Amino acid sequence: MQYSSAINSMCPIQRGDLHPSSPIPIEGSMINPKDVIAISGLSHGVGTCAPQQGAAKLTLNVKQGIIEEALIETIGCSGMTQSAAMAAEILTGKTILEAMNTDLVCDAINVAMRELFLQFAYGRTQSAFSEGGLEVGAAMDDLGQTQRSQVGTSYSTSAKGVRYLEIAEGYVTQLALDDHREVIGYQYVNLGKMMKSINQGIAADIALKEATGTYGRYEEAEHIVNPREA
Amino acid sequence: MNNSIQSVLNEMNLDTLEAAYQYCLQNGIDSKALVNETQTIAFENAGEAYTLGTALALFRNAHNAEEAANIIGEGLQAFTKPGSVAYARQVGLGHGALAARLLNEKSQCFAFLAGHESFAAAEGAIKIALNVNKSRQTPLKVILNGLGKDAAYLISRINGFTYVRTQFDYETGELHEVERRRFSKGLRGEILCYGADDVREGVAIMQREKVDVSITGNSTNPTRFQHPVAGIYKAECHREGKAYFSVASGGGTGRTLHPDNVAAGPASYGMTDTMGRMHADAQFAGSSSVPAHVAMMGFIGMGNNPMVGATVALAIEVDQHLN
Repeated sequence: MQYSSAINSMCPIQRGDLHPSSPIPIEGSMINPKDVIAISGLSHGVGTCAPQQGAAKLTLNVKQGIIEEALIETIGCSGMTQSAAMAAEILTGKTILEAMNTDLVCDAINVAMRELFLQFAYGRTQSAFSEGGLEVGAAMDDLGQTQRSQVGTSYSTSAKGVRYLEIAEGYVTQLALDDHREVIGYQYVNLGKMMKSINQGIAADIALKEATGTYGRYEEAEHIVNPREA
Repeated sequence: MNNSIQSVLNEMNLDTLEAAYQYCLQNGIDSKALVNETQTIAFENAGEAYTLGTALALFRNAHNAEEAANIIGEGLQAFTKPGSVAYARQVGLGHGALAARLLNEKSQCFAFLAGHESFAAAEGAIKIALNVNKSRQTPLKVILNGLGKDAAYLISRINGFTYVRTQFDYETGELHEVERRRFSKGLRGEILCYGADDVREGVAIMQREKVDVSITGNSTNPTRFQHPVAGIYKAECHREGKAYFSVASGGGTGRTLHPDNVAAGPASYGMTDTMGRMHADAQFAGSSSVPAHVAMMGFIGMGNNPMVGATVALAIEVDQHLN
């Protein structure tokens, strides 16, 4: 290491008895990380692109700094779905530091990765206080029992009122209205459940029927309307 | 299957969870169906956990619904993953204890202090309202108290509750009822749903209904409503020598509100946990409503609020079958 003559001519001054950086909680232990491999945990990051046309959510399960599991969920931009497909393959096996500097093609996914890195760096992971963290496969849980991203879609105009199109239970097929024509419930098809049944060999019409349910006071409806047509 | 589940099965001389389910069915209780009916998006492991707890309560011949609730809690606890936040907080036992508290005659009014998760609060509230009074001498009042009057109206309309519209007088501190609209003639209509404009009105609603047990969610407005209302009301009850059992649902580090939302820096538990610890007699983990988030904190895939309803309903089923 080379020093300037100004530095070389300075008299040395002793550093104080400084403590290390603040410890952060990592999978049930308080540690002072100096290296990225000291960091483990499961956490999420959400990012959007510059025009805010779409948003991506990353869920990474990191063990000793290496990404062992990646879940990428997207909403809004069809191009991002393909970026997500590529990023899912690219991210695993890298350290989170490498992942920060990998071209993830999509702005929203890059931003999500940055936000997620901050979670790890500050010790704010989901599993910060869970001894040993979560097993690889835990990120899959975030998709719920039908292993399908939760995408909510509701629409309304002041002229014609509200249309629920997709809610946690599934794809909304009918809206139930009371005698004031206010929404009191809905019928839905849980697409994840239906496709699971079809994969198991159940006929599509039966699978559709079994995956159909209602929410709220559907049975008390005065009027039933299709939210996409009415 | 972990060792805790195995040891509960061993106590009943059963080998598998399927055998426990058959045992419940033989006793006329379809535990899995009841769980799915309470929250349709619950995971399969939620049905299994409740099956284990229900079978155990049947096996031990619970004397009443309150005792059954606590035993069901033991079954739930067996499903917590060792080392997880859920395990450390004993959330399974906590769920049993909360349901037992609701079945106890001393409790008169239970409040879901809810935010955006009010639909899930509604799922829990419906199950409680439809079941809890089957084994109580005096009926338990169930209310929802949340931020936002429009949301309260919509939730009431969809679920068939009674919407109570209030106006808080900020000068005198009085709470006035403006309108009351019942959306269902059935038992769901017995549930009162209040919307509040702010913390003061929320506390006034707690006072008006003489709430003695509550569960708070953590979103969307934990810092602006649920936890402050529970905390302030708790302090008031404490000063006046009144009993108030407060449960903080949701939370876990990183879920849902970080210290970073208010300031970055040295380690601490998440802000939601910190707020919960200020007032809670029991603290759950994960989410009031989202099954996946509860599963990720090391428990089962079912929202904490619906779980309150499922625990009460199954405890009553066990009681009715045995006694």
